Amino acid sequence: MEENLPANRLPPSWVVFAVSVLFTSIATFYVWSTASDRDKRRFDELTFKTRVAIESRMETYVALLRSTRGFLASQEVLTQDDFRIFISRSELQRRFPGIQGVGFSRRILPAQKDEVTVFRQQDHCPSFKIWPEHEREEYHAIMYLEPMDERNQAAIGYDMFTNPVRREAMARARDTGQPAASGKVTLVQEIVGKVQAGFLIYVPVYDADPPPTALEDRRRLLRGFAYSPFRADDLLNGIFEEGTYPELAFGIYAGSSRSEPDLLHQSTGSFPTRSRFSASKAIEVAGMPWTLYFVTLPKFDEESNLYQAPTVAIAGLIVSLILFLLARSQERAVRERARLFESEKRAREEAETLNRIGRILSAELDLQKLVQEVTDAVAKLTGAEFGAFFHNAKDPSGNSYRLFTLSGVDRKAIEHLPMPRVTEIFAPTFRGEGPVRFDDVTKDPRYGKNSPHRGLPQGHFPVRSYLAVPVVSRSGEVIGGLLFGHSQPGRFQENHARLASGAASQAAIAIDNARLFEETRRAIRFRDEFLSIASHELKTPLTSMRLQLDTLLRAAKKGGGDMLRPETILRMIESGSRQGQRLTRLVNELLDLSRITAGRLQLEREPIDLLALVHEVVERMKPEIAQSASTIRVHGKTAAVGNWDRMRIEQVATNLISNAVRYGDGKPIDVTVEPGVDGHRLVIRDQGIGIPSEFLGRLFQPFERAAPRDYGGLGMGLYIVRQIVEAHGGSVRVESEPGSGATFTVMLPKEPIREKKESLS
Amino acid sequence: MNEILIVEDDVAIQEGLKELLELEGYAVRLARNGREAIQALRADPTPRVILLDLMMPVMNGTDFCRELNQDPSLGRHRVILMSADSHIEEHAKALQTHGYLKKPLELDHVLETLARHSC
Repeated sequence: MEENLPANRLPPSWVVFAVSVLFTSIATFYVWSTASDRDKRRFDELTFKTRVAIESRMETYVALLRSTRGFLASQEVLTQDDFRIFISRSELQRRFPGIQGVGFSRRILPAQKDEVTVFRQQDHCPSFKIWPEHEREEYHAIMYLEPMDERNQAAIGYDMFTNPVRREAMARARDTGQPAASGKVTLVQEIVGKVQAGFLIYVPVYDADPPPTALEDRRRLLRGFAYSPFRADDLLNGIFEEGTYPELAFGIYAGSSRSEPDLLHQSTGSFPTRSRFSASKAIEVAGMPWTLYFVTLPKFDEESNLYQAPTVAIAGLIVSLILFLLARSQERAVRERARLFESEKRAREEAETLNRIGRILSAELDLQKLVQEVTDAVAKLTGAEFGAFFHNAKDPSGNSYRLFTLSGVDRKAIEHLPMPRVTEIFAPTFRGEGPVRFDDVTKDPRYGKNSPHRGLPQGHFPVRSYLAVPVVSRSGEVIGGLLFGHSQPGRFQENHARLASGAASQAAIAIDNARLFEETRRAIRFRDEFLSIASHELKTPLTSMRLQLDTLLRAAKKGGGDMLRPETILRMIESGSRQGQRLTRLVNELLDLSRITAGRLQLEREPIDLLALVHEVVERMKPEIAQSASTIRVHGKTAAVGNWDRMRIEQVATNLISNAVRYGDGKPIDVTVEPGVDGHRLVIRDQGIGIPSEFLGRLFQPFERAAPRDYGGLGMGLYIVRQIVEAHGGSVRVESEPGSGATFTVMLPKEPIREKKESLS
Repeated sequence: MNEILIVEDDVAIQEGLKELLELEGYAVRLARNGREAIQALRADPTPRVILLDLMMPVMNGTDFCRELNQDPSLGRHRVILMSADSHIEEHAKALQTHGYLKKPLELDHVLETLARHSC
């Protein structure tokens, strides 16, 4: 139902779907971008916290070392016990988790070396020695390192200044007076267990208070370093308890870039190959640049809201789909309702239309107008571009139907076209079979099968949709067919066929009535005309007879023989007698007519020579022929004998020759007798006024005449001729062209045909 | 004006009328149809009475009247229409003839009518 779904507008269900998908997209994008932002913030927060935790812890250690320096600076003489007491007071293990220890490394000039060694050996450490032992400008031995566990014990006496990494930090601390962290080292304490990366922080202790400011003084007055060694893994594990930030992994590099050799610590065994976020951060620990590298772990993604985006998308799409289906089913319901309404309306309209057609038709007796009404009404109702009513009257070749009315097309447009022929497409309609309907007639296998056109003739307007219904009268006769066409395919529906059939039945009844009326009217007209002709024909001889008689009477009254010469009287009597014969002939003709129309024509057959008979007739007609300017030539050499009714055949010859004389225009007339094997032919040819083509078809009908009434005669002659010839089993036909005469050909079989009845019925 | 032109296709009527009218002292000329009558008048348009049949071949009475009225060179004549047609009075009126005679002709009526229109 295209009228419910305009092609230029999207159906609302699709709009619903599109809008809801759009909303879904927007929502999905919003959720995704919000989650993204949140994740970024979360990452930043985690890295920040981690960094701050590391930095602040390192600050704490530096603070511890500063306080240790203060303690050391205040002691003139320092023993292991003093140092242990000081360190134990600082509750190292509890307050500074992850620290390996706090120690004092003393600067020793070569001169002091032995004295210090002895001093320390006497102070609870009999195996003390400064190592490595080679000679140098100054020595830096680890004097004390608390807590004095097995690991730290191993470091006592070690000269850290001999190691380049440590020396660099120590020199920096000495020269700046500030705490200084070393690069990555392996601690000398690494004697058991897994070797960890380590580093140290040094704080310089000077023999001056306040500490000297000049570089020279600092180098000269350096007493040693308060320092702490750190095992990186232990330290970081101390800062971050197990599972503090399960979403994040990080690495610490003792350097300004992320290079593997500088790696101090890595929070997991290995970094994941793929992660949402990663970042490097530079920090400074006791004057040493460190690089922190962070990556997110799968746990981070689990905490993310990002997964909500696909959920929102899927949920949104499902909702969209549901809305779409709901809208569509709603649409369908609306459409269905509209369709029902439409079909109900159409049914009502159809009924009304058929009623209206019926009313119009019952009031119409003019056949042409009536059929036009039907054709127009049905063409309009079915939306046909053209409609036509074709009479079920075939042309002389028996091949075509005759166009009666036309609707939608100018008659001129198709006048030049041949009429539809008896093809498989048309024939069923004119046989009175049900409606014929094609959505596309050109696609039907029966289409285009017939020569010469193979489809529509050249110049025919295009027809794709085709609908035809027969018009069948009460008596079962197929009066004709209503044919409808449209140039677009699929225009005619079942209901159109129904409608057309309904109209066709109405039309059939009306046509029956109109035809009856027409026939009656024509019969009356014929009767009137016949009476008028008969009266004229009868009155003409009567008129002249009366004139003659009255003249004679008048002459007789006036003085008899004196008035009229004898030859005049004779001529008048002869004339009167001829008029009497003429009246007899007319009366006989009327009697023949009445016999023929009543079916009582009896033939009295005897052997007759047609040629001889023609000669006799021409001889007898001499006076009549003489009156006209025409001459008659009889052609024929041999006898043409047949078994016929002499009087009737004479009647035929007389009639035809008389016609030729009457309409011969004074030109020569040829009468030819052609003998044949089974029968003989009589041809009468004149060169007179001829017969208009429209009369040829009904020339042999009763009361029909081609000529104007001014030419005398009852108009029954040719009708009687045909009846007689056909009663003999023969035939008569005419060929003529107006202006160049007419040729009548009578064919008479020699013997009666057994099967045929000799009397007409 | 006692010359009469008879326009009639039926020979018997023609002759009958001719005999009768000549007996009555009229000069009679004959024409078998309208065409012949026109030709006769063209040759001699002297005014006279015309007895005109309605139904004739070649040129009928109606067409003859039309041509006669349209062509003054044919002369001014008194036309009497003759017909067996029951509607002869209407025809006569339509053709504006001077009189009409209903067939079959009654002798007295014919002579009386002619006497009225001849001088």
